[in-house]
Amino acid sequence: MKTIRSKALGLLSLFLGAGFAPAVQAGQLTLGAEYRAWTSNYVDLSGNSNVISGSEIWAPLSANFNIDRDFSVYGQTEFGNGNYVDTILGNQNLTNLSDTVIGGELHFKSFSTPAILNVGLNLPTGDPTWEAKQISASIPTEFVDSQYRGRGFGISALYGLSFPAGDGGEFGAGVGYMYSGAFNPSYANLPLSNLKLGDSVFVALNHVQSYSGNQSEVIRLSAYYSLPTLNSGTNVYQLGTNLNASYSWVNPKDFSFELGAQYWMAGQIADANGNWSPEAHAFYGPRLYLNPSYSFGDLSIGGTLKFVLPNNYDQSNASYDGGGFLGGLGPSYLMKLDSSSDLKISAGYDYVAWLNVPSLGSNGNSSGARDANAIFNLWTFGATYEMKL
Amino acid sequence: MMKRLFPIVLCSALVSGFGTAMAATPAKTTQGLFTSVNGKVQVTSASGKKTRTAQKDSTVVEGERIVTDKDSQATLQLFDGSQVDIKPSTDLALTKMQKPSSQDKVLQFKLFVGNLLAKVKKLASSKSSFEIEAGGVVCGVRGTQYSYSYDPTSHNVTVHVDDGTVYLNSNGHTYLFTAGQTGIFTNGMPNPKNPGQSPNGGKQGNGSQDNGNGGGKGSLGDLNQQFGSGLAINGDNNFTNPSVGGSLHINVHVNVSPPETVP
Repeated sequence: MKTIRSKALGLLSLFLGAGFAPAVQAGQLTLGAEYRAWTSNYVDLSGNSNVISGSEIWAPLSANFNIDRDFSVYGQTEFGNGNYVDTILGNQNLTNLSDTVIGGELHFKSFSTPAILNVGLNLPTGDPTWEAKQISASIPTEFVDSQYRGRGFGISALYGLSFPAGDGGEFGAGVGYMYSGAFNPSYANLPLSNLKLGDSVFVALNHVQSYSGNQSEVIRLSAYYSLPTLNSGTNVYQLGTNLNASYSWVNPKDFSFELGAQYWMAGQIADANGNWSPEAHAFYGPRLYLNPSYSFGDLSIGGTLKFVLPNNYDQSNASYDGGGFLGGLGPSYLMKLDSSSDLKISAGYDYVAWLNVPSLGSNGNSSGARDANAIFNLWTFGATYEMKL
Repeated sequence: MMKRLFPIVLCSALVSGFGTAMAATPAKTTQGLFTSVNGKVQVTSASGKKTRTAQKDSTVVEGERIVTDKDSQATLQLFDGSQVDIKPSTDLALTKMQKPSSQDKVLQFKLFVGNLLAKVKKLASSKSSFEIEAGGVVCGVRGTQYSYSYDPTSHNVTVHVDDGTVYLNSNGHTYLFTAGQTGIFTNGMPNPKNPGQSPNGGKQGNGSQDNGNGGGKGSLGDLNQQFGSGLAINGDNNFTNPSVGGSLHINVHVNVSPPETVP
């Protein structure tokens, strides 16, 4: 369950809204519960052949509240417990609140066209060491991103414009900026005590075309340009520019799908003195994904097929990544409880194959050859309660 | 599998400018005045106990309900100069007709079934509102003209704006429609056919396993989706990149011989 930042922190929203005498009494509170668990055939080199696995319980809370017709506030946070089994960093049993996101979204006219300004704050209410502690037990993030966020103070801002484009068509153009403050993720031998992830500049263009029968198609293009990541003010790494393109066909009563691709350009890596040298190849290989879904009314079934291509490093290079694929399937059922609330129950299974990783021989030693595939099985069960405020 | 029949609200408009010239006879404050009545038009009191037949130059007040017959219609002039054409087979409640101050006005209606054409006098203050609710969707304006209709058997909302700005509130989201735009809502939810709406809706991941097919919410909503995709605040993936410090990279291995690991 990926909760989303445009939802609002309910109580805070109500407090914020108290002084405005809102003319539009509309908002939504969302409470969730989710269980995720994964297993693998992936072991570490500690000699005891422990298989990596993990399980997590999440309780996300989000809400939004319309202060005025053209202005809404939102917020999101999440409480979680994670158990991660590995023997490199040690088994972990973590319990904490994640970072909290609050923000506001303003709708207005700009250059005589509809526009939005969305500003969000990432409040560092989470544990900045969580991700470092879980990383060696996790499914690689190119397939499944970490659900937990504990990454210090941050700000994001998006400005977007909408332009009519013929009958039923519409263009959208936007620019955004994400600022990341420094935080200390240090744990074990991670030498990053004052890490500032690179800020990002975002530009996007999309086109939405509507058809009869409530169908539509959406074309999305976007790019992220990342500024350098610093540790105690010294250059560490600069992620290459990320380009994204996707096409969606949406039929809410029938078959829908999204087909997309993501590409990273080579970035820069710094030496111990912070001097840059370009990466020989992009660390992240290109990604292709297809997300089909079918609606049977209140019941829907969604799938995911994702391919991560290997990067161009030689297999002998430490930066080599063999890529792989993910195949997932998940039904969800929406129960209307009353006119102002509903309950969504969902489940999912994902099969992840990370290709060309080293294997261990019968003697327990690694040959160094990348001659095996790491397999992960991920199960997800969740329920989300939504209530209109 | 459960199928629901969704309410349809039609909100199609032909707009011809602010401040349509009103009839010469002004309505009393917080009252509405029938400037024309054709056919059988019934007015039910706020208590629901009394029903009377509307006639030209008769008035209505807050809380009353107006019902037109199949071949009947009426035009209602509101105290602020706005005008509502009530089409045949329409059932409309005058939920709020208030004037808190000389500058402010609050006009709210509930459309149970039928069609309306609203010619709205421009709102003079931020506290003023002109809203029509139907099928869970609130349609409001800031000085424009639009029509609104509701068919409870089919459950769709459509808005078309020729001039000015119309906003719709549904399920916690606000959608803006400007001149020339048409939008449709189904079961209170934005319909992908909406070409001109500007939702403040949520974002969904892009390219991740959680990705949804939530498109069709308008270009601004999609920008939100793109901006939030994959990269949350402070969320660039290079945190887990082995190039960052190097020592974060953990070498792990598959503990089976290669032939057994190939799926």
